[in-house]
Amino acid sequence: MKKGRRLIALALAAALVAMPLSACSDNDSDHAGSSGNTIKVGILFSESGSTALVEKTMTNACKMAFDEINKSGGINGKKIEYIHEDYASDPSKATEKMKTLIEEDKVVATVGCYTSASRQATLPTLKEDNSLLIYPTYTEGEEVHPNVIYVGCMPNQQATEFVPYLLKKLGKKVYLVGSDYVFPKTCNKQARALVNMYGGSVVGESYVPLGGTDFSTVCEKIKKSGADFVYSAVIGDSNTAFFKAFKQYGLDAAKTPICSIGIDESNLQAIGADYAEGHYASMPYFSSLNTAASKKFVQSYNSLYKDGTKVTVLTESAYSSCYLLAAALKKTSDPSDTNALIKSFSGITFDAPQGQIKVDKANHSTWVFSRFAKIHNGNFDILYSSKSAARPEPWPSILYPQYKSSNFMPSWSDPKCYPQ
Amino acid sequence: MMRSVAARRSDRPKKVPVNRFIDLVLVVFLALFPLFAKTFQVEMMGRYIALSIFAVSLDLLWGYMGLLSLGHAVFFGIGGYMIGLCYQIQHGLPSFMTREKITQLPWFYLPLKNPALAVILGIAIAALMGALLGFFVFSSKIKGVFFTIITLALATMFYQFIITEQKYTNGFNGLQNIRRFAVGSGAPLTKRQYYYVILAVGVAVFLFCIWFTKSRVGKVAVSIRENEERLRYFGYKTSHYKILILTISCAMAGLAGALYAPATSSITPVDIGVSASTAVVVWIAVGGRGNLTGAVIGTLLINWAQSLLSDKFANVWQLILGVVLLLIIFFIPDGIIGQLVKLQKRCGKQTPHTEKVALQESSTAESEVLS
Amino acid sequence: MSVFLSQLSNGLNQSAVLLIATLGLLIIFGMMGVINMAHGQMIMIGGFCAFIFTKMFRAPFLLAVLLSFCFAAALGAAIELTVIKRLYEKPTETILATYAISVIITEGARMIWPLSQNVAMPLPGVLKLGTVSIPIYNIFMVAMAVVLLVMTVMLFKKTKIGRKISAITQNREMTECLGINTSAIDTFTFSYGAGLAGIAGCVLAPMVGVSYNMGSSYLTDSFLTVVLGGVQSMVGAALSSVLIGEGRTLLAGILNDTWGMILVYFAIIVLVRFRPEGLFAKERR
Repeated sequence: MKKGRRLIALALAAALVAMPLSACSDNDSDHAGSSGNTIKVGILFSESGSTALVEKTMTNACKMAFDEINKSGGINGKKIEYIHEDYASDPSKATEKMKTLIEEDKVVATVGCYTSASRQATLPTLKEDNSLLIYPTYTEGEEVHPNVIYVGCMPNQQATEFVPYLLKKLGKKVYLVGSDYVFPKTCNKQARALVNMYGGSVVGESYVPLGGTDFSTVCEKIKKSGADFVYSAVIGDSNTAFFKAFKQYGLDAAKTPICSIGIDESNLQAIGADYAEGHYASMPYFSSLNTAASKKFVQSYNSLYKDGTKVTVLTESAYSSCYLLAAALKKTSDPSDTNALIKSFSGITFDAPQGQIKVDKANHSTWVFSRFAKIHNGNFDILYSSKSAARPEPWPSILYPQYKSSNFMPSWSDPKCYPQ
Repeated sequence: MMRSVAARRSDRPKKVPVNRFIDLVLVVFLALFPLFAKTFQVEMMGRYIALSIFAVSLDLLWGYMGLLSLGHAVFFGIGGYMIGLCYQIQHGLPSFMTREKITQLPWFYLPLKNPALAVILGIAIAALMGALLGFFVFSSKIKGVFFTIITLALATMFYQFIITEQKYTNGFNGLQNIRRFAVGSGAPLTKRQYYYVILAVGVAVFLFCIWFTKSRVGKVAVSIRENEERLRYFGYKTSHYKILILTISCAMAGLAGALYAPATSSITPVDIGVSASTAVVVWIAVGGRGNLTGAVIGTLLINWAQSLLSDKFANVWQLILGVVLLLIIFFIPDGIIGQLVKLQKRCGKQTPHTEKVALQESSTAESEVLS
Repeated sequence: MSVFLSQLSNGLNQSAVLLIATLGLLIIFGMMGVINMAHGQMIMIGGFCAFIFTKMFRAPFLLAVLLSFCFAAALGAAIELTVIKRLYEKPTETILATYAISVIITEGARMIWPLSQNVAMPLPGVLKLGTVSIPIYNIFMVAMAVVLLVMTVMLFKKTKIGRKISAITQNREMTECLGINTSAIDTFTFSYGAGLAGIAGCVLAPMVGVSYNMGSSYLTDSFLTVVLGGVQSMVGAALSSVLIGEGRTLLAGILNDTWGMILVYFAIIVLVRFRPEGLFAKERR
């Protein structure tokens, strides 16, 4: 009996020892990220949890991009080996998985993160281990980190041309709406400045809880304000409830359209064609874009993945991120030299499905297109495309004129540049 | 710890339950772990030990006193946010405040500038909130299930509060760059040093819990779980005991949060909401509740499994966890360690001598309290 | 004034949403004492039924409501028979088991429908009363809430099985002694509660869309409504949903939605402290 007890304890201890050890023995042999004939890169997106549905399409896009790159010869003769980790929509898991990718799998760079929270959570790890993250999501800006390349658009790229267009076409009175967190608030702050600059006036501003579904109060306030249009930074599934409540409460898209910087094709499906009709949206890319590159991209995505996901701006951006990474890797002689890799990103270009995009020479952000569309028959009808990619301003000049001379960012050593 | 176990063995040779051996093995293992593991594994283990402290704090409340909290992560979050805010305000105003046009640091953030004070405040505020909650809930004979629901509401409220007050908390994005207790501009502790700090605190907390559960108050707690009415007949003010234990448990959760945040270098609303609170409940359920060891083993086991297996089963990981939980509830309701303890007792019953001990043990809680 | 009136009418709609979402839980938690963490997932099942039947089979909406009741009730019965039945008298195990079930259902749904789906609005249009405009569907929601409430009250007061359920709630052993098959009635009650949750999902779907995590936000709301109203009081649940819905919407009009929610939750916790049996319970227990 005593023996039994000891046996049990021993077995348990053995199991505990074995677990981390089994992890140790996995990849001990190779140390550099480019050992042999492969270059290892990480893909860090959630497969479960609250944001999994958006991130699934980004994972797909990355896999598709890397497979294409490998098929067309890889990087200077080497193949890309991608390792996908799931952070379950939890920022502290994102840190952990980022560590695993960098220290265990020895990746040279990672494409990943959807929410700002998850990106910010990985920043200390990126700095400590001096690795690189390519971040494809559209973001609120006001942060530039030396170890991150921001491929998604900055608020200025969505708003600078969109807001004056709306003011001219729809009227001067604007109501600002958003989900209650950092991205919408930052975007709306910039929109407010633009509205004032072009002679419009903000007649109200409201925020609803993230993921909230009750928009009755907001709709009443909009109606009472007599706004000419609603500038919306409502994000994710809340849009369904918002667009539906909007019409339900007697607001008319023809008179007071919602002009959103937070909806894409997948939201459109959930809202339904009749409730989305006549509203506006601004994004660097819409899958309805009528160019050869875009059509080819949408077609090859849809033939590869039949899991119910849709091509959105995020898909395109994740796809482009991978190609930008590949281009940067081609320029560096030693892929495991992170500093050289980051340097080689400066000024690099890629003919993306949206058109030619370019990583800025100084501020680690990407020049992307400015496009807006009116929703018609459940599709984005593109009204305007900028002639070339628009300049990214992490600290928009309209709010922070002091940073204009330094490429729209504080100096790298300033704590305002990124949490240090 | 080794001595105390040995001493007790000589007194009453059959009384030591199997989980104390496991504790011993575990402590030795964890102490030696950094010698053969890679730095990042050490770092992860450190984080999981901090989570184990959190789990133990809930085990005290749930396993011993029978009160299930679905909002315990709130107290964990208070500890984490205090230390997180501490490192946000080291370089003057953090950007999330300047963004909202705050020009001066609010007075209530001034004491947080000192990391040690921030940790103490984290623990104290968690304890205070626990005490208030206890005072509020237990003085009006609210039943166990109501306590669970109220804590559920508390977690939802706190989560929304942190998100909506983003000019003070950075909202949904949470706090980053929490350093491993760097003082001033000095270098933070290395990852291995910090691992041992967490381990030392963890062992201390664990020993305290062993002592506490064996003490009179601990026995009262078990009796409250078993039969609160009877205890009240005997003149015990059970509500006082409940408040006391809730307060201690919350303070421990705050401590765990204050240790955890520097280990991950971030704390976000995801760490404090309902889902974080349910996660820890699941760990304890898998490990086995009411014996402390189970909470630790469950936490380490599930977190390591998740970290090692989830990339292979990313898509179905949550599903696997759900099924495993269901199977455990049906087939080993006492959890892994609870089942081991039970097996040991069953083995013990074969000889008459141990039968007496087993009997004695099963009734110790109540009899010792009432004597 | 017109703002106040329209907020009042919105609040009524919120109350109806709350009451519909709560009724199922009132049966399962209030009558049977089972803390059902999978309540939100049962709502989600109803939502997906609405999507499947109206979108794929082009069934009329009311038929979808009926079918979602049947599907959710069948699922509820299956859960009760396989899991809950073995765990009565063990409240904590029930919480854990229903939580496990909620995870399994959510993940299953996520694998089939990763994106949220649209359910067409069956009753578009607005009713204008002076300056106040009320969506027709809101009126339908309120009517639905009243119908479901009356139906449930009738079931419990007027039918044989309802009286049996009440008898079990009051004294299980005694009822068993009378030769009533309590086990079968448990299954019935649970599946009826699940069915009501299914209806909730179905009628909510046109307003908020359908996705795998649509139900989780209703869990805390529903529990608090039941607790505030008194666990065994159906009228109490109705009154407390009105109180919560109106309180929240009026506060949201003054402050914002988040603070409205926080303050109402806080008020409920305070109220329950002084009346643990709920505001509208008939007698003190």
